[in-house]
Amino acid sequence: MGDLMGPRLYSCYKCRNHVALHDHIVSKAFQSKNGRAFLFSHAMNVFSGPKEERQLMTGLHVVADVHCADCREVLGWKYEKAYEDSQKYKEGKVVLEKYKIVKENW
Amino acid sequence: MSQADVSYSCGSCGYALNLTSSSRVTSSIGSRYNKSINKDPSTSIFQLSDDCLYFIFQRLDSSLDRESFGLTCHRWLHIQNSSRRSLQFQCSFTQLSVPSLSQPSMNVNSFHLYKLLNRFQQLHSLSLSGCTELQDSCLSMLITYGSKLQSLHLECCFRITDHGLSFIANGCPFLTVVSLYRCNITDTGLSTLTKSCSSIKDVNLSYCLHISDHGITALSKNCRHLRAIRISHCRNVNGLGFQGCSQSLIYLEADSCKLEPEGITAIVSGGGLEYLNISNLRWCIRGHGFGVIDSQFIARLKVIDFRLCRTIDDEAVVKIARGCPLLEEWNLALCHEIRIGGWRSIGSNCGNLKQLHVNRCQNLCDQGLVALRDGCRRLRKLYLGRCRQIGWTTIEMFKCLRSDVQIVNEEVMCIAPDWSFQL
Repeated sequence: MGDLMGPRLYSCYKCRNHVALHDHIVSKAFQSKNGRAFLFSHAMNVFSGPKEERQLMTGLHVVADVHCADCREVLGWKYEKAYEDSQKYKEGKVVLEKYKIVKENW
Repeated sequence: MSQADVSYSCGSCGYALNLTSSSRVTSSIGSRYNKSINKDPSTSIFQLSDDCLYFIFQRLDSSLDRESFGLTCHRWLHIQNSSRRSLQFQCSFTQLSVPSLSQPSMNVNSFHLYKLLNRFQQLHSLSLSGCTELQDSCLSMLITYGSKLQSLHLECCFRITDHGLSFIANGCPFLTVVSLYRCNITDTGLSTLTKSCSSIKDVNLSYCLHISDHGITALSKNCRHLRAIRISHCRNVNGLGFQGCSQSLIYLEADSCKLEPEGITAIVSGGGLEYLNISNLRWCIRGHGFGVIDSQFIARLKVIDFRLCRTIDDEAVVKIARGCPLLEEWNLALCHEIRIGGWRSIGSNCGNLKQLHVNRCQNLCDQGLVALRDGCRRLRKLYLGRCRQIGWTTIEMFKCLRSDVQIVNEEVMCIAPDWSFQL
Protein backbone atom coordinates (compact mmCIF):
# COMPACT_ATOMS: atom_id res chain seq x y z
CA MET A 1 0.00 0.00 0.00
CA GLY A 2 1.55 3.24 -1.12
CA ASP A 3 0.70 6.79 -0.15
CA LEU A 4 -3.03 7.34 -0.32
CA MET A 5 -3.96 10.88 -1.33
CA GLY A 6 -6.92 12.04 0.66
CA PRO A 7 -9.83 10.12 2.13
CA ARG A 8 -11.14 6.97 0.45
CA LEU A 9 -14.49 7.99 -1.01
CA TYR A 10 -17.42 6.26 -2.59
CA SER A 11 -19.40 8.04 -5.30
CA CYS A 12 -22.72 7.68 -7.08
CA TYR A 13 -22.15 5.50 -10.15
CA LYS A 14 -24.05 7.87 -12.44
CA CYS A 15 -22.86 11.33 -11.60
CA ARG A 16 -19.79 10.69 -9.40
CA ASN A 17 -21.21 12.69 -6.57
CA HIS A 18 -19.27 11.83 -3.36
CA VAL A 19 -21.66 10.02 -1.03
CA ALA A 20 -19.69 8.18 1.65
CA LEU A 21 -16.30 7.55 3.24
CA HIS A 22 -14.77 4.09 3.41
CA ASP A 23 -13.99 4.70 7.09
CA HIS A 24 -17.69 4.95 7.85
CA ILE A 25 -18.49 1.40 6.83
CA VAL A 26 -20.10 -0.52 9.67
CA SER A 27 -20.78 -3.80 7.86
CA LYS A 28 -20.24 -5.30 4.44
CA ALA A 29 -22.61 -8.19 4.90
CA PHE A 30 -25.88 -6.66 3.80
CA GLN A 31 -28.11 -7.84 0.98
CA SER A 32 -30.35 -5.81 -1.26
CA LYS A 33 -32.69 -7.05 -4.00
CA ASN A 34 -29.92 -6.72 -6.55
CA GLY A 35 -26.87 -7.90 -4.69
CA ARG A 36 -24.46 -6.98 -1.99
CA ALA A 37 -24.74 -3.78 0.02
CA PHE A 38 -22.77 -1.95 2.71
CA LEU A 39 -24.01 -0.35 5.91
CA PHE A 40 -22.57 3.12 6.48
CA SER A 41 -22.88 5.09 9.70
CA HIS A 42 -23.92 8.05 7.60
CA ALA A 43 -23.85 9.32 4.02
CA MET A 44 -23.41 12.79 2.56
CA ASN A 45 -24.88 14.60 -0.46
CA VAL A 46 -27.94 12.40 -0.40
CA PHE A 47 -31.55 13.02 0.46
CA SER A 48 -34.22 10.67 1.76
CA GLY A 49 -37.52 9.87 0.21
CA PRO A 50 -40.75 9.22 2.13
CA LYS A 51 -40.74 6.79 5.06
CA GLU A 52 -42.40 3.44 4.58
CA GLU A 53 -42.68 0.11 6.32
CA ARG A 54 -40.88 -2.70 4.59
CA GLN A 55 -40.41 -6.37 5.33
CA LEU A 56 -36.69 -7.00 4.96
CA MET A 57 -34.69 -10.18 5.47
CA THR A 58 -34.19 -9.37 9.13
CA GLY A 59 -37.76 -8.37 9.85
CA LEU A 60 -40.13 -5.40 9.64
CA HIS A 61 -38.53 -1.97 9.53
CA VAL A 62 -39.42 1.62 8.76
CA VAL A 63 -37.06 2.69 5.98
CA ALA A 64 -36.71 5.60 3.58
CA ASP A 65 -35.11 5.35 0.14
CA VAL A 66 -31.93 7.35 -0.19
CA HIS A 67 -31.31 9.32 -3.41
CA CYS A 68 -28.21 11.00 -4.80
CA ALA A 69 -28.60 14.74 -4.31
CA ASP A 70 -27.49 15.60 -7.84
CA CYS A 71 -28.98 13.03 -10.17
CA ARG A 72 -31.72 11.65 -7.87
CA GLU A 73 -30.75 8.04 -8.52
CA VAL A 74 -31.84 5.66 -5.74
CA LEU A 75 -28.65 4.42 -4.06
CA GLY A 76 -30.02 2.47 -1.12
CA TRP A 77 -32.10 3.05 1.97
CA LYS A 78 -31.90 4.50 5.45
CA TYR A 79 -33.21 2.76 8.55
CA GLU A 80 -35.58 5.05 10.43
CA LYS A 81 -36.97 2.58 12.93
CA ALA A 82 -36.45 -1.09 13.75
CA TYR A 83 -39.13 -3.04 15.57
CA GLU A 84 -36.94 -5.79 17.00
CA ASP A 85 -34.37 -5.09 19.71
CA SER A 86 -31.57 -6.93 17.94
CA GLN A 87 -31.99 -4.65 14.93
CA LYS A 88 -32.01 -1.36 16.86
CA TYR A 89 -28.34 -0.67 16.11
CA LYS A 90 -29.26 0.03 12.49
CA GLU A 91 -31.46 3.02 13.25
CA GLY A 92 -30.20 6.19 11.58
CA LYS A 93 -27.65 4.35 9.46
CA VAL A 94 -27.64 4.16 5.67
CA VAL A 95 -27.30 1.10 3.43
CA LEU A 96 -25.83 1.76 -0.02
CA GLU A 97 -25.99 -0.95 -2.68
CA LYS A 98 -22.60 -2.05 -3.97
CA TYR A 99 -23.48 -1.78 -7.65
CA LYS A 100 -24.73 1.78 -7.22
CA ILE A 101 -21.53 3.17 -5.82
CA VAL A 102 -18.00 3.32 -7.21
CA LYS A 103 -14.66 3.88 -5.54
CA GLU A 104 -13.28 7.34 -6.07
CA ASN A 105 -9.50 7.68 -6.55
CA TRP A 106 -8.44 4.44 -4.84
CA MET B 1 -107.85 23.73 -59.24
CA SER B 2 -109.84 26.83 -58.32
CA GLN B 3 -112.68 27.77 -60.65
CA ALA B 4 -112.73 31.30 -62.15
CA ASP B 5 -116.38 32.02 -61.59
CA VAL B 6 -116.55 30.92 -57.95
CA SER B 7 -115.66 33.29 -55.11
CA TYR B 8 -113.83 31.55 -52.20
CA SER B 9 -113.85 32.69 -48.62
CA CYS B 10 -111.90 31.66 -45.50
CA GLY B 11 -113.82 29.10 -43.48
CA SER B 12 -113.31 30.71 -40.09
CA CYS B 13 -113.55 34.48 -40.69
CA GLY B 14 -115.21 34.78 -44.09
CA TYR B 15 -112.38 36.87 -45.66
CA ALA B 16 -112.59 36.84 -49.49
CA LEU B 17 -109.62 34.83 -50.86
CA ASN B 18 -107.96 35.73 -54.16
CA LEU B 19 -107.18 32.34 -55.63
CA THR B 20 -107.14 32.92 -59.39
CA SER B 21 -104.02 34.22 -61.11
CA SER B 22 -106.00 36.61 -63.29
CA SER B 23 -106.99 38.61 -60.25
CA ARG B 24 -103.38 38.89 -59.05
CA VAL B 25 -102.36 42.44 -58.14
CA THR B 26 -98.80 42.59 -59.58
CA SER B 27 -98.16 46.21 -58.67
CA SER B 28 -97.70 45.27 -55.01
CA ILE B 29 -94.93 42.70 -55.66
CA GLY B 30 -91.65 43.77 -54.00
CA SER B 31 -88.89 45.25 -56.16
CA ARG B 32 -86.33 42.62 -55.05
CA TYR B 33 -88.48 39.76 -56.30
CA ASN B 34 -88.88 41.61 -59.55
CA LYS B 35 -85.11 41.72 -60.01
CA SER B 36 -84.61 38.05 -59.25
CA ILE B 37 -87.17 36.81 -61.69
CA ASN B 38 -85.42 38.80 -64.38
CA LYS B 39 -81.90 37.53 -63.38
CA ASP B 40 -79.53 35.85 -65.86
CA PRO B 41 -79.01 32.25 -64.54
CA SER B 42 -75.45 31.82 -65.89
CA THR B 43 -73.62 33.76 -63.08
CA SER B 44 -74.29 31.46 -60.11
CA ILE B 45 -71.45 30.34 -57.85
CA PHE B 46 -71.49 26.88 -59.38
CA GLN B 47 -70.05 28.33 -62.57
CA LEU B 48 -66.79 29.29 -60.87
CA SER B 49 -63.73 27.26 -61.82
CA ASP B 50 -61.88 25.05 -59.34
CA ASP B 51 -58.97 27.38 -58.68
CA CYS B 52 -61.35 30.20 -57.80
CA LEU B 53 -63.04 27.88 -55.34
CA TYR B 54 -59.66 26.89 -53.83
CA PHE B 55 -58.92 30.57 -53.37
CA ILE B 56 -62.26 31.11 -51.66
CA PHE B 57 -61.73 28.08 -49.44
CA GLN B 58 -58.33 29.34 -48.25
CA ARG B 59 -59.99 32.52 -47.03
CA LEU B 60 -62.50 30.70 -44.83
CA ASP B 61 -61.39 31.08 -41.20
CA SER B 62 -63.67 29.02 -39.03
CA SER B 63 -63.81 25.24 -39.18
CA LEU B 64 -67.59 25.48 -39.25
CA ASP B 65 -67.41 27.40 -42.52
CA ARG B 66 -64.99 24.89 -43.94
CA GLU B 67 -67.22 21.97 -42.99
CA SER B 68 -70.22 23.64 -44.60
CA PHE B 69 -68.16 24.25 -47.73
CA GLY B 70 -67.39 20.57 -47.98
CA LEU B 71 -70.98 19.50 -47.41
CA THR B 72 -72.25 21.39 -50.45
CA CYS B 73 -71.51 18.82 -53.13
CA HIS B 74 -68.87 16.22 -54.08
CA ARG B 75 -66.81 18.66 -56.10
CA TRP B 76 -66.61 21.09 -53.19
CA LEU B 77 -65.83 18.23 -50.83
CA HIS B 78 -62.92 17.28 -53.05
CA ILE B 79 -61.66 20.87 -52.89
CA GLN B 80 -61.89 20.85 -49.11
CA ASN B 81 -60.06 17.51 -48.88
CA SER B 82 -57.24 18.45 -51.19
CA SER B 83 -56.66 21.73 -49.39
CA ARG B 84 -55.81 19.98 -46.15
CA ARG B 85 -52.07 20.15 -45.48
CA SER B 86 -51.66 18.72 -42.03
CA LEU B 87 -53.29 15.94 -40.06
CA GLN B 88 -52.96 14.78 -36.50
CA PHE B 89 -54.92 12.63 -34.08
CA GLN B 90 -56.35 13.43 -30.67
CA CYS B 91 -53.58 11.48 -29.01
CA SER B 92 -50.84 13.55 -30.63
CA PHE B 93 -48.45 15.54 -28.47
CA THR B 94 -47.06 17.68 -31.22
CA GLN B 95 -49.94 20.13 -31.00
CA LEU B 96 -51.63 19.63 -27.73
CA SER B 97 -55.32 20.41 -27.51
CA VAL B 98 -56.43 20.31 -23.90
CA PRO B 99 -60.09 19.36 -24.48
CA SER B 100 -58.98 16.19 -26.24
CA LEU B 101 -57.17 14.93 -23.14
CA SER B 102 -60.36 14.04 -21.32
CA GLN B 103 -61.87 11.99 -24.13
CA PRO B 104 -61.21 8.25 -24.44
CA SER B 105 -58.51 7.59 -27.00
CA MET B 106 -59.27 5.82 -30.24
CA ASN B 107 -56.98 3.02 -31.39
CA VAL B 108 -55.82 4.11 -34.81
CA ASN B 109 -55.50 1.11 -37.12
CA SER B 110 -54.76 0.52 -40.78
CA PHE B 111 -58.38 0.94 -41.83
CA HIS B 112 -58.57 4.45 -40.32
CA LEU B 113 -55.27 5.37 -41.88
CA TYR B 114 -56.32 4.05 -45.30
CA LYS B 115 -59.56 6.04 -45.26
CA LEU B 116 -57.80 9.20 -44.14
CA LEU B 117 -54.87 9.01 -46.55
CA ASN B 118 -57.25 8.22 -49.39
CA ARG B 119 -59.36 11.23 -48.54
CA PHE B 120 -56.56 13.75 -47.92
CA GLN B 121 -54.05 13.21 -50.69
CA GLN B 122 -52.15 16.50 -50.51
CA LEU B 123 -50.84 16.26 -46.97
CA HIS B 124 -47.53 17.90 -46.14
CA SER B 125 -47.52 17.04 -42.46
CA LEU B 126 -48.79 13.88 -40.79
CA SER B 127 -48.60 13.19 -37.10
CA LEU B 128 -49.22 9.65 -35.91
CA SER B 129 -47.69 10.36 -32.53
CA GLY B 130 -49.43 8.69 -29.65
CA CYS B 131 -50.79 5.90 -31.85
CA THR B 132 -49.17 3.21 -29.77
CA GLU B 133 -50.87 0.24 -31.43
CA LEU B 134 -50.00 1.25 -34.98
CA GLN B 135 -48.31 -1.57 -36.89
CA ASP B 136 -45.60 -1.44 -39.55
CA SER B 137 -48.03 -2.66 -42.20
CA CYS B 138 -50.14 0.48 -41.76
CA LEU B 139 -47.24 2.56 -43.00
CA SER B 140 -47.25 0.67 -46.30
CA MET B 141 -49.99 3.06 -47.40
CA LEU B 142 -47.43 5.83 -47.45
CA ILE B 143 -45.97 4.29 -50.59
CA THR B 144 -49.10 5.21 -52.54
CA TYR B 145 -50.34 8.25 -50.66
CA GLY B 146 -47.32 9.81 -48.96
CA SER B 147 -45.40 11.27 -51.87
CA LYS B 148 -45.94 14.89 -50.86
CA LEU B 149 -45.24 14.36 -47.16
CA GLN B 150 -42.60 16.64 -45.67
CA SER B 151 -43.09 16.13 -41.97
CA LEU B 152 -43.84 12.82 -40.28
CA HIS B 153 -44.18 12.38 -36.52
CA LEU B 154 -44.14 8.90 -35.04
CA GLU B 155 -43.58 9.70 -31.37
CA CYS B 156 -44.38 6.77 -29.08
CA CYS B 157 -45.35 4.45 -31.92
CA PHE B 158 -43.86 1.55 -30.03
CA ARG B 159 -44.65 -1.08 -32.64
CA ILE B 160 -42.93 0.65 -35.53
CA THR B 161 -39.71 -1.15 -36.50
CA ASP B 162 -37.20 -1.07 -39.36
CA HIS B 163 -39.81 -2.63 -41.64
CA GLY B 164 -42.02 0.42 -41.21
CA LEU B 165 -39.07 2.68 -41.92
CA SER B 166 -38.51 0.94 -45.26
CA PHE B 167 -42.06 1.88 -46.26
CA ILE B 168 -41.41 5.48 -45.32
CA ALA B 169 -38.16 5.42 -47.29
CA ASN B 170 -40.06 4.15 -50.35
CA GLY B 171 -43.01 6.46 -50.11
CA CYS B 172 -41.79 9.83 -48.84
CA PRO B 173 -38.68 10.98 -50.71
CA PHE B 174 -39.12 14.64 -49.78
CA LEU B 175 -39.26 14.11 -46.05
CA THR B 176 -37.60 16.95 -44.10
CA VAL B 177 -38.80 16.52 -40.51
CA VAL B 178 -39.10 13.07 -38.95
CA SER B 179 -39.57 12.11 -35.34
CA LEU B 180 -39.00 8.54 -34.15
CA TYR B 181 -39.04 9.14 -30.41
CA ARG B 182 -39.28 5.81 -28.60
CA CYS B 183 -39.70 3.78 -31.76
CA ASN B 184 -38.22 0.31 -31.83
CA ILE B 185 -35.79 0.96 -34.66
CA THR B 186 -32.17 -0.04 -35.29
CA ASP B 187 -29.25 1.19 -37.36
CA THR B 188 -30.33 -0.79 -40.45
CA GLY B 189 -33.69 0.95 -40.57
CA LEU B 190 -32.08 4.34 -40.11
CA SER B 191 -29.61 3.67 -42.94
CA THR B 192 -32.42 2.63 -45.29
CA LEU B 193 -34.38 5.75 -44.42
CA THR B 194 -31.49 8.17 -44.84
CA LYS B 195 -30.39 6.65 -48.18
CA SER B 196 -33.73 7.51 -49.78
CA CYS B 197 -34.73 10.60 -47.83
CA SER B 198 -31.62 12.64 -48.29
CA SER B 199 -33.28 15.98 -47.61
CA ILE B 200 -33.99 15.23 -43.96
CA LYS B 201 -33.32 18.33 -41.87
CA ASP B 202 -34.71 17.67 -38.41
CA VAL B 203 -34.68 14.22 -36.84
CA ASN B 204 -35.64 13.13 -33.35
CA LEU B 205 -34.12 9.81 -32.29
CA SER B 206 -34.47 10.24 -28.52
CA TYR B 207 -34.89 7.02 -26.55
CA CYS B 208 -34.22 4.83 -29.62
CA LEU B 209 -32.12 2.52 -27.52
CA HIS B 210 -30.82 0.31 -30.34
CA ILE B 211 -29.36 3.16 -32.37
CA SER B 212 -25.57 3.22 -32.33
CA ASP B 213 -22.85 5.09 -34.18
CA HIS B 214 -23.31 3.05 -37.36
CA GLY B 215 -26.74 4.55 -37.79
CA ILE B 216 -25.45 8.02 -37.00
CA THR B 217 -22.66 7.61 -39.57
CA ALA B 218 -25.24 6.77 -42.21
CA LEU B 219 -27.28 9.79 -41.20
CA SER B 220 -24.41 12.27 -41.37
CA LYS B 221 -23.13 10.82 -44.64
CA ASN B 222 -26.45 10.68 -46.50
CA CYS B 223 -28.31 13.71 -45.21
CA ARG B 224 -26.09 16.64 -46.05
CA HIS B 225 -28.77 19.20 -45.16
CA LEU B 226 -29.13 17.93 -41.62
CA ARG B 227 -30.02 20.85 -39.37
CA ALA B 228 -31.17 19.46 -36.04
CA ILE B 229 -30.85 16.13 -34.29
CA ARG B 230 -31.94 14.80 -30.92
CA ILE B 231 -30.32 11.63 -29.60
CA SER B 232 -31.14 11.95 -25.90
CA HIS B 233 -30.84 8.74 -23.91
CA CYS B 234 -29.38 6.76 -26.85
CA ARG B 235 -26.95 4.96 -24.64
CA ASN B 236 -25.15 3.13 -27.46
CA VAL B 237 -24.06 6.32 -29.18
CA ASN B 238 -20.58 7.48 -28.27
CA GLY B 239 -20.42 10.35 -30.78
CA LEU B 240 -17.90 9.00 -33.30
CA GLY B 241 -20.63 8.62 -35.90
CA PHE B 242 -20.86 12.40 -36.28
CA GLN B 243 -17.39 12.68 -37.80
CA GLY B 244 -17.61 14.52 -41.09
CA CYS B 245 -21.17 15.75 -40.62
CA SER B 246 -22.24 18.73 -42.67
CA GLN B 247 -21.80 22.31 -41.57
CA SER B 248 -25.57 22.76 -41.72
CA LEU B 249 -25.93 20.95 -38.37
CA ILE B 250 -26.76 23.71 -35.89
CA TYR B 251 -28.74 21.92 -33.18
CA LEU B 252 -27.60 18.83 -31.29
CA GLU B 253 -29.30 17.47 -28.22
CA ALA B 254 -27.43 14.51 -26.74
CA ASP B 255 -28.26 14.48 -23.08
CA SER B 256 -27.79 11.35 -20.97
CA CYS B 257 -25.57 9.71 -23.61
CA LYS B 258 -22.26 7.94 -23.01
CA LEU B 259 -20.23 10.22 -25.27
CA GLU B 260 -16.50 9.58 -25.37
CA PRO B 261 -13.83 12.29 -25.67
CA GLU B 262 -13.20 11.36 -29.32
CA GLY B 263 -16.94 11.48 -29.82
CA ILE B 264 -17.04 15.07 -28.58
CA THR B 265 -14.40 16.00 -31.18
CA ALA B 266 -16.45 14.25 -33.85
CA ILE B 267 -19.66 16.01 -32.84
CA VAL B 268 -18.23 19.48 -33.42
CA SER B 269 -16.36 18.48 -36.59
CA GLY B 270 -18.98 20.07 -38.82
CA GLY B 271 -18.10 23.50 -37.55
CA GLY B 272 -21.60 24.94 -37.67
CA LEU B 273 -23.02 23.91 -34.31
CA GLU B 274 -24.95 26.62 -32.47
CA TYR B 275 -26.81 24.65 -29.79
CA LEU B 276 -25.08 21.80 -27.96
CA ASN B 277 -26.66 19.85 -25.13
CA ILE B 278 -24.59 17.11 -23.49
CA SER B 279 -26.14 17.36 -20.05
CA ASN B 280 -26.05 14.36 -17.74
CA LEU B 281 -22.96 13.08 -19.54
CA ARG B 282 -21.85 9.70 -18.28
CA TRP B 283 -18.56 10.00 -16.47
CA CYS B 284 -15.62 8.85 -18.63
CA ILE B 285 -12.26 8.09 -17.07
CA ARG B 286 -10.50 9.69 -20.02
CA GLY B 287 -12.05 13.08 -19.34
CA HIS B 288 -14.21 15.38 -21.41
CA GLY B 289 -12.29 15.75 -24.65
CA PHE B 290 -12.57 19.52 -24.96
CA GLY B 291 -8.86 20.03 -24.45
CA VAL B 292 -7.92 18.79 -27.92
CA ILE B 293 -10.67 20.47 -29.93
CA ASP B 294 -9.67 23.10 -32.47
CA SER B 295 -11.37 26.37 -31.55
CA GLN B 296 -12.62 27.02 -35.07
CA PHE B 297 -15.11 24.16 -34.76
CA ILE B 298 -16.86 25.57 -31.72
CA ALA B 299 -16.76 29.22 -32.78
CA ARG B 300 -20.43 29.38 -33.67
CA LEU B 301 -21.85 28.01 -30.45
CA LYS B 302 -24.56 30.21 -28.95
CA VAL B 303 -26.26 27.97 -26.37
CA ILE B 304 -24.46 25.25 -24.40
CA ASP B 305 -25.98 22.90 -21.84
CA PHE B 306 -23.46 21.16 -19.57
CA ARG B 307 -25.84 20.51 -16.69
CA LEU B 308 -24.68 17.62 -14.47
CA CYS B 309 -21.49 17.01 -16.46
CA ARG B 310 -19.09 16.09 -13.71
CA THR B 311 -16.10 15.79 -16.07
CA ILE B 312 -16.27 19.43 -17.21
CA ASP B 313 -13.43 21.18 -15.43
CA ASP B 314 -11.46 24.41 -15.70
CA GLU B 315 -9.61 23.27 -18.82
CA ALA B 316 -12.87 22.77 -20.73
CA VAL B 317 -14.36 25.99 -19.43
CA VAL B 318 -11.34 28.08 -20.40
CA LYS B 319 -11.31 26.52 -23.88
CA ILE B 320 -14.95 27.32 -24.45
CA ALA B 321 -14.91 30.76 -22.87
CA ARG B 322 -12.07 31.77 -25.17
CA GLY B 323 -13.27 29.92 -28.24
CA CYS B 324 -16.98 30.81 -28.31
CA PRO B 325 -17.33 34.57 -28.70
CA LEU B 326 -21.01 34.34 -29.66
CA LEU B 327 -22.04 32.41 -26.57
CA GLU B 328 -25.32 33.75 -25.14
CA GLU B 329 -26.56 31.10 -22.74
CA TRP B 330 -24.55 28.55 -20.77
CA ASN B 331 -25.85 26.01 -18.32
CA LEU B 332 -23.18 24.85 -15.84
CA ALA B 333 -25.51 23.68 -13.08
CA LEU B 334 -24.07 20.86 -10.95
CA CYS B 335 -20.66 21.07 -12.65
CA HIS B 336 -18.73 20.50 -9.47
CA GLU B 337 -15.26 20.39 -10.99
CA ILE B 338 -15.19 24.03 -12.09
CA ARG B 339 -13.06 26.09 -9.75
CA ILE B 340 -11.75 29.64 -9.50
CA GLY B 341 -9.69 29.42 -12.72
CA GLY B 342 -12.77 28.52 -14.70
CA TRP B 343 -14.95 31.22 -13.18
CA ARG B 344 -12.32 33.88 -13.79
CA SER B 345 -12.05 32.80 -17.40
CA ILE B 346 -15.80 33.05 -17.88
CA GLY B 347 -15.81 36.49 -16.34
CA SER B 348 -13.07 37.86 -18.55
CA ASN B 349 -13.91 36.16 -21.86
CA CYS B 350 -17.68 35.71 -22.13
CA GLY B 351 -18.54 39.17 -23.31
CA ASN B 352 -21.78 38.20 -25.02
CA LEU B 353 -23.13 35.91 -22.33
CA LYS B 354 -26.69 36.85 -21.40
CA GLN B 355 -27.84 33.95 -19.22
CA LEU B 356 -25.66 31.80 -16.96
CA HIS B 357 -26.82 28.84 -14.88
CA VAL B 358 -24.63 27.89 -11.91
CA ASN B 359 -27.17 26.22 -9.63
CA ARG B 360 -25.71 23.86 -7.03
CA CYS B 361 -22.10 24.17 -8.23
CA GLN B 362 -20.20 22.91 -5.21
CA ASN B 363 -17.02 24.77 -6.06
CA LEU B 364 -18.42 28.18 -6.85
CA CYS B 365 -16.91 30.26 -4.08
CA ASP B 366 -17.25 33.94 -3.21
CA GLN B 367 -14.22 34.86 -5.31
CA GLY B 368 -15.71 33.04 -8.28
CA LEU B 369 -18.90 35.04 -8.00
CA VAL B 370 -16.85 38.24 -7.75
CA ALA B 371 -15.04 37.29 -10.95
CA LEU B 372 -18.38 36.79 -12.71
CA ARG B 373 -19.64 40.06 -11.33
CA ASP B 374 -16.66 42.02 -12.60
CA GLY B 375 -16.85 40.48 -16.07
CA CYS B 376 -19.72 39.32 -18.32
CA ARG B 377 -20.89 42.81 -19.19
CA ARG B 378 -23.95 41.64 -21.11
CA LEU B 379 -25.24 39.30 -18.43
CA ARG B 380 -28.98 39.67 -17.77
CA LYS B 381 -29.92 36.58 -15.77
CA LEU B 382 -27.91 34.52 -13.29
CA TYR B 383 -29.45 31.28 -12.04
CA LEU B 384 -27.81 30.94 -8.66
CA GLY B 385 -29.76 28.53 -6.47
CA ARG B 386 -28.31 26.47 -3.61
CA CYS B 387 -24.62 27.20 -4.11
CA ARG B 388 -23.40 26.21 -0.69
CA GLN B 389 -20.16 28.16 -0.69
CA ILE B 390 -21.63 31.55 -1.54
CA GLY B 391 -22.18 33.87 1.36
CA TRP B 392 -25.08 36.25 1.77
CA THR B 393 -22.84 39.32 1.64
CA THR B 394 -21.36 38.35 -1.70
CA ILE B 395 -24.81 38.02 -3.20
CA GLU B 396 -25.88 41.38 -1.84
CA MET B 397 -22.74 43.04 -3.20
CA PHE B 398 -23.50 41.45 -6.57
CA LYS B 399 -27.04 42.83 -6.59
CA CYS B 400 -25.68 46.21 -5.59
CA LEU B 401 -22.96 46.55 -8.19
CA ARG B 402 -24.77 44.72 -10.98
CA SER B 403 -28.36 45.86 -10.75
CA ASP B 404 -28.79 45.00 -14.43
CA VAL B 405 -28.55 41.29 -13.63
CA GLN B 406 -31.59 39.39 -12.36
CA ILE B 407 -30.64 36.68 -9.84
CA VAL B 408 -32.97 33.69 -10.07
CA ASN B 409 -33.20 30.83 -7.58
CA GLU B 410 -34.87 28.24 -9.81
CA GLU B 411 -33.11 25.48 -11.68
CA VAL B 412 -34.09 25.29 -15.33
CA MET B 413 -33.90 21.82 -16.81
CA CYS B 414 -34.17 22.63 -20.49
CA ILE B 415 -32.67 25.62 -22.26
CA ALA B 416 -33.23 24.43 -25.83
CA PRO B 417 -34.03 27.21 -28.30
CA ASP B 418 -36.95 26.68 -30.64
CA TRP B 419 -35.05 26.99 -33.89
CA SER B 420 -36.08 23.61 -35.23
CA PHE B 421 -38.77 20.95 -35.15
CA GLN B 422 -41.41 23.51 -36.02
CA LEU B 423 -44.40 22.00 -37.75
